[in-house]
Amino acid sequence: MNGSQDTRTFRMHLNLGPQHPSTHGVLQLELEMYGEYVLGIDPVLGYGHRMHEKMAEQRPWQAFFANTPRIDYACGLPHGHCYALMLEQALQIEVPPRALALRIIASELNRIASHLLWVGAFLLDLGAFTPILYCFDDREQAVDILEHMTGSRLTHPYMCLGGVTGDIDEETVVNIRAFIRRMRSRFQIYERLVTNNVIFIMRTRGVGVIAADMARAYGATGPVLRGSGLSCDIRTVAPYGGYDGYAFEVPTGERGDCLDRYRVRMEEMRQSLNIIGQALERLPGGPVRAEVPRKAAPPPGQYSCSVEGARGDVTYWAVSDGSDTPYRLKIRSPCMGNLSLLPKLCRGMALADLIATLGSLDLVIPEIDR
Amino acid sequence: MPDTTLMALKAAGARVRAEGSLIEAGVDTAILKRCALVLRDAGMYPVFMTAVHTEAGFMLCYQFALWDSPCRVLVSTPAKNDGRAVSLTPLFPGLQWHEREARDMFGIIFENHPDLRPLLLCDEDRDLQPLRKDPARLKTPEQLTRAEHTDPDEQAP
Amino acid sequence: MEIEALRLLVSVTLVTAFVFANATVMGYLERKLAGHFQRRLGPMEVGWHGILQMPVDGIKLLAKRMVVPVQAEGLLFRLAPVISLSPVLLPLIVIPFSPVLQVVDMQVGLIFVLAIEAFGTIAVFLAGWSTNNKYAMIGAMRSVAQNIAYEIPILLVALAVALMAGSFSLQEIVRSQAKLWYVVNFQLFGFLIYLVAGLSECNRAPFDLPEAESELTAGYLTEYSGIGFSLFMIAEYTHMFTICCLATVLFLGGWQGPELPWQAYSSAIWFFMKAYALMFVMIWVRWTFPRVRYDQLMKFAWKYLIPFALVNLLVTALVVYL
Repeated sequence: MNGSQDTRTFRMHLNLGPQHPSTHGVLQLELEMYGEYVLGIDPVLGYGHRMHEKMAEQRPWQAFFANTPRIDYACGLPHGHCYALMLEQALQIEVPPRALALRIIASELNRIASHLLWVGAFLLDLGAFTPILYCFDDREQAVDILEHMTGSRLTHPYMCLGGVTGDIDEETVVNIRAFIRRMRSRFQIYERLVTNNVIFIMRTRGVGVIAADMARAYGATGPVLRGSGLSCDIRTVAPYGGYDGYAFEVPTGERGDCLDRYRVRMEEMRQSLNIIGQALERLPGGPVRAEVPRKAAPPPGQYSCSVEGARGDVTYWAVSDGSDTPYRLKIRSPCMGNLSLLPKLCRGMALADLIATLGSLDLVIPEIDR
Repeated sequence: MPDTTLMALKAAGARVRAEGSLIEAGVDTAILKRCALVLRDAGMYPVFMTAVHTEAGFMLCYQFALWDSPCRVLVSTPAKNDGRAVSLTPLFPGLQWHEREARDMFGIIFENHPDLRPLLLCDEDRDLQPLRKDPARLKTPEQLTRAEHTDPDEQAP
Repeated sequence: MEIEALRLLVSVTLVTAFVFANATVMGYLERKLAGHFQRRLGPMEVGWHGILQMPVDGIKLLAKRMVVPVQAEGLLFRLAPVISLSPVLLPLIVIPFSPVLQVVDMQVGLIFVLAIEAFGTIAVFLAGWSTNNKYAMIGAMRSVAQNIAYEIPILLVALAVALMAGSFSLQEIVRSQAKLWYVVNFQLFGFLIYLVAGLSECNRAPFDLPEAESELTAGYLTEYSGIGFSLFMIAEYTHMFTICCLATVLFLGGWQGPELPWQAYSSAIWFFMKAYALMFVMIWVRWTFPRVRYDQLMKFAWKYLIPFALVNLLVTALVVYL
């Protein structure tokens, strides 16, 4: 990188390079700095580009389910959920109710795990080394349950055409209930250690304020948009996959600063626990997978489906030519909208505030790169 | 909400079909900006922008959504024959990166785009255009349209 | 005179040896405590419960080559770690560990300590500057402003204690606390100000901006490896030790404590207990709080700590007068 530095003033070009303790994934930010303050940012993406959309065009529809959890590895189940719903819509397949409930349980567990990971990483960015270990402790319980359900700790091969790949047993149900109880009691630790911590509040209140109009214009969704005050959650606005049968609240913030986004995600974890509890209570019996054709070949046309991922609006859009491989598959990553407002937002911010804002957007860069 | 948007789109000259809360609009290049303005005034946020490589050239596809209702609008428009298109970034800043990606993947040049550098590909691969298809695999827009939809939504002008 | 010179030599050597031993113990303590605060165990493999971890790490660091980057100023780069160790070692020669265990009892001991500690800033700045690396330079600039700002509250509260004791000699200050330690004797406020400012002087969290890992990849320490790095670490732990020793002397009654056999020497035990208790608090604070932002740090020093320290001084002066 050019080390251009004007020695008479304090302007310099700083490279927050792709390897950096606080960027989540491989994101390169080229900063124009004036001393401690950021004049302009230029994000350089593409380090995690794996051509998922091209891969989709070269393998059968059902084979792409293996790719979906790897697009956003921190919260991969909503991606699989979205793809499955889109295909089921196209092929007019009805998913059995037990599978709908299991999908919801798994997605919400994944959301909790993803938000816990975010809380820990965000506080690590701010300089608090301890909360990440508490978060990983809690996350371990969630990930263990997901391992029993899906077979994998991180990239879960659980969603499939017509339902889910496997049923859960009584022991897992007991574990999930225990997890809900334990997690509810853990929130007060986070309240005392983090939420009411005066230095944390000093670092996040009024920092990185995103106006609701700006968020919408840039396509930012999820906790970023909700932190700015708009109650926009696809699970309530356009319910899918059985979500309309569950009672839960959608938390919103007021100012749109980092503290609001943090509070929104903490509250979302609580609401996810409510959803999982309700799903367990009314878990219907029956099969976990519908009868599906061996080779999925949706009739020609375009199909679209949107779900609420941990980071925002996950939309899959496919064009089919009637054959058993997609003609075009477009994966809309919520992090792309969230990150694209950063260059405009960060003019004039101090470097420490930039790091806090970047952390509060909850980015998984390989999701943008696909 | 969807009804007024529907009517405004029709008034702007789009070929519109609504299925529940999903509105599909086929639009000519000339009126793309007008339709985008309609959607922006309706308060929609940009979901994505991408393209499909068909035998009749590139078909640009946009999706917009409302934050407080299930309405989603899918706009498709053909690119000009020389692979150029009008950039909607001035109207929806969120489409800036999507258009950069479309340029990377397909080679579509967007006029009036503030910054059309490669987004996902590195500088050496800027002309790779990976999502283009081999001529042998190209399909016509008719082959990509649903059989029961007889109105020419995905056809080239 | 020869005996006096010999005594000086032996005691300085002992203090220096103690400083290195202290760094070892403190490093181990920090990692073990950090582990337990974070619900894990800390070092467990090397020796019983990891007790040999620090000596082994020290040997490893010594064995590594100290890489001097091509663009760095060679001489200054190598000098900076050494310069960082001196100003934190020298104050220990006037600290009274017990009624007789003191290398030199200067009449102006307190001023000597405060003056020498100010040199630490130069070492940090030298390290950041000579590295010729943007990140290190930002760390160095932050550190200089931070150190200068937080020295002032320390000076003011130390002055308040000196007023109450009527002397600058550290041994005198300790002796004058025979009845009541200053922390309860009108100096509680001063004690708290001193602790916060002391944390900041050591560049410890929540004020560890010069070495802010997640922002600057170790700041002014970025390019140091091998013995350079270990000297900086030793200097940091020694600085913490010096701050805590001074706090013990000024506020917690130094070596004052219940009677023990061989009082003249063994009251050092009370001294070390108090000093290490304060260091435990420092480590605890580090692993609990996130980092403050730079401007918040400066605002805190200039708008809050210094005015409070001034008020403290005035009140003390009034009390002493009356």
